[in-house]
Amino acid sequence: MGLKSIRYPAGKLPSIRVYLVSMNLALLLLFTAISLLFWQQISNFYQTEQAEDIVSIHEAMQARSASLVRSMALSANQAITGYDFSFLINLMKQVTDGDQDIQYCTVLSSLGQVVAHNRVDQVGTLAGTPVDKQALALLKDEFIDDQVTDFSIQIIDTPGAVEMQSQMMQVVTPVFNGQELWGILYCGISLAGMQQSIDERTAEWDEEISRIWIFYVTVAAIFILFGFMVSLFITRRLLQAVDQLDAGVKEVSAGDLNYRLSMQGLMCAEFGTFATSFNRMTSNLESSHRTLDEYNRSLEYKVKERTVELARSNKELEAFNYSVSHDLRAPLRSIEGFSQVLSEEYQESLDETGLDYLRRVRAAASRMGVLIDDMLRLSRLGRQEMQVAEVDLSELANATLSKLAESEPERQVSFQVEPGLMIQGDRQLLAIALDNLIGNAWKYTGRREKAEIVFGKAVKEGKSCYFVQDNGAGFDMRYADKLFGAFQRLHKSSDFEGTGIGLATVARIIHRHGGSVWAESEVDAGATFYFQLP
Amino acid sequence: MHNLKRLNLGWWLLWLHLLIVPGQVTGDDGLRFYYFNPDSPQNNLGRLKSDMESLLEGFDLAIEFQPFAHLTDFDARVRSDRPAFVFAPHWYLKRNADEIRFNPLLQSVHQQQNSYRKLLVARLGSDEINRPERLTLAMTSLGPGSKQLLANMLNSDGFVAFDKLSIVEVPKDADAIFAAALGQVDVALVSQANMKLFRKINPRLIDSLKVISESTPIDMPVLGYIDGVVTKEQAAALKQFMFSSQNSTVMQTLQIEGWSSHER
Repeated sequence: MGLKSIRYPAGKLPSIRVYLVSMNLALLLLFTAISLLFWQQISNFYQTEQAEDIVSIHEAMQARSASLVRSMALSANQAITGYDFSFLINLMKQVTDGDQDIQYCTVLSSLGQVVAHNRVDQVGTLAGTPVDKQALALLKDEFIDDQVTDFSIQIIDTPGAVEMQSQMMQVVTPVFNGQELWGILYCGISLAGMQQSIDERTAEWDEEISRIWIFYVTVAAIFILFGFMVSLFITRRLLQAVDQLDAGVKEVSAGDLNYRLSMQGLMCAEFGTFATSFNRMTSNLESSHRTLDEYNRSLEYKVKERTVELARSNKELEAFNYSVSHDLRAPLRSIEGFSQVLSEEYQESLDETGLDYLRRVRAAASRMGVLIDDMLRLSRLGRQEMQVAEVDLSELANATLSKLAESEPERQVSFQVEPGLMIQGDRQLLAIALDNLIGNAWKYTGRREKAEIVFGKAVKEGKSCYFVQDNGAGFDMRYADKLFGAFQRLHKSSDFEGTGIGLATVARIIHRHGGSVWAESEVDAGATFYFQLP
Repeated sequence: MHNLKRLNLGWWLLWLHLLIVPGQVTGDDGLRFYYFNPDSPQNNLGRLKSDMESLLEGFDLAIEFQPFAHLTDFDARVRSDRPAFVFAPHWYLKRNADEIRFNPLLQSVHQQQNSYRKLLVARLGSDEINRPERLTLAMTSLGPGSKQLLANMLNSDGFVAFDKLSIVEVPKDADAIFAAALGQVDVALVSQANMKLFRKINPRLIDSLKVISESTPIDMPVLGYIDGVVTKEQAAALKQFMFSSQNSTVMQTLQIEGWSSHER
């Protein structure tokens, strides 16, 4: 989890609002899609039912018309056989008068003469209209050629065949005189009425579909609206709960460990469990934090106590050093003075050996004096008040090098100082430090024909630092940890004179400034001393 | 849908049934009035029945009117049902009056005559009339001995060989006209009134016919009652009722102009 949170910062993850809104939109789209599919099925069902209804109207119309004409044909057979023409004509007239959809009824003899017609004035005429000819063709082609002896009904559509109607259904049936095919009976039935019925039925279907559609849309709208409101309500409550949890987590993460998540309005058990666990965690965290604070406070107190003790010890030590150094000066001066008197006034009384011993005493006393002076100087460094100001290290370095060059003008030393190296610190102390570092470089390059000393600025391990570099004797890095100890020396006094207090002085000055000092070197390959100041 | 309802098959079948077998619907109660007049130009027996029933609703007695299209049916039902009143051709009543106990009341009048004539017509261009051995004649039924009656009517002038004549009996006088005009028979015996009526309705049909001969006057049909079924008073009441209805529209339906008293 920790790795994931690092790889995917919370700010780049989508908000829960996006998920909830996306989910609601997806559900809405899904519902809409399902509704459309459902409506399509209903529409298909209604269209199929409507088509079947229309077909059944057609079939019923044809069946009933066929039955009527068939019945008329039975009467026609009887009438023809019995020469009952007036009955037949009357039947035609009655049938057509009684039904406005039946436009005409005709009985044609096989010779094509109109034997009976709903209009008496048409009786006796010859078949002349396209309808008559079409029907007569049936008589010749169908009923005779096919040797139809039984009753047979032919239903044909005659669109545009009759002037009065755009579409007619003509029912044709043979008329027999006994066993002999005598003629045909045919009736033209207008499909306008049926079409009107179909139109009315279609309108009823359309109205029904519209009614269902309105009902369906209304119900769907109500469901969608209700669903939307429920979804909105739940989403808002969820988001409020999430916001509440989020605010609490942020508050605690900002440091307010006293904050507790409210259980009110969290809506669901999971959030409640989360809040309870979070509050428990926060309580534990607060308790741990309080314990840590107390520990820190006791630690700080101990540090302060130790610091005070250390400071007191340092002061006592410095005071002791100072006292010792100062008190040592008096007997040392006596030794130096009396040894000088002895060497000047009793030179003839002493043999060479005595004189040699006396010289050694004087040299030791002198060296002891130097040591005491250095100890006093080192002691003062710890007690001296720091005057922090901007210090030009380049200037200090140049001054030291000039002074050294003047002291030994015979030496060939090339030195290089990076200009403009400014720093905040105590000018006097930093001058002492540079004097020691550059003085060491001068001293340990004393055996080089062409000595090189460089002072500049560098970057070590990402931090800016200053360095003094030489090509002198260098030292073995195995003893690097002893470099900055007081009176620690890595070379013999006979090789390079010194008290071993210089680098200790440098370290103390740098440490007082809050910095650090270290060195890198190889034997006979020169050395580089670095110091870093904050 | 409503158009299909208009094509109510059941209604039409019932209607056809009534036309074909009219006698079966006579009621069991009340008096019956049977009608048979094949020479009448009125072919619509349904309308005739309707109009007569409307007329007879005004009569004191409940009478059921029943027209017949075929002589055989009429004759059989007259004998079996014994109707109260009968309207029939004169020749029928003359032949069967005693047997069925018929008493005449009124005789129909047409063109102010108690008689009418029939015409013997043939289709123009027909060759069959020149071959009398194969002659077919359409006419309304005159019952048994129709050839003799026909001979009497036509005062045979030698044109028709009655013994070789093949008579086709048609239900109505108009059917004889159709049969001849449509070439179904060679000649037809039809009434003048029907010829006149059809000349108005379908002149093409009548123009296709030519009159060959004319019959002697034939008595108009007679209305009477069956003795023993109704009383004389009831018969007189009907006679008076029919007299009083001479100006009603039913006379047009009957295709007569009025009545004349005709009592034996």
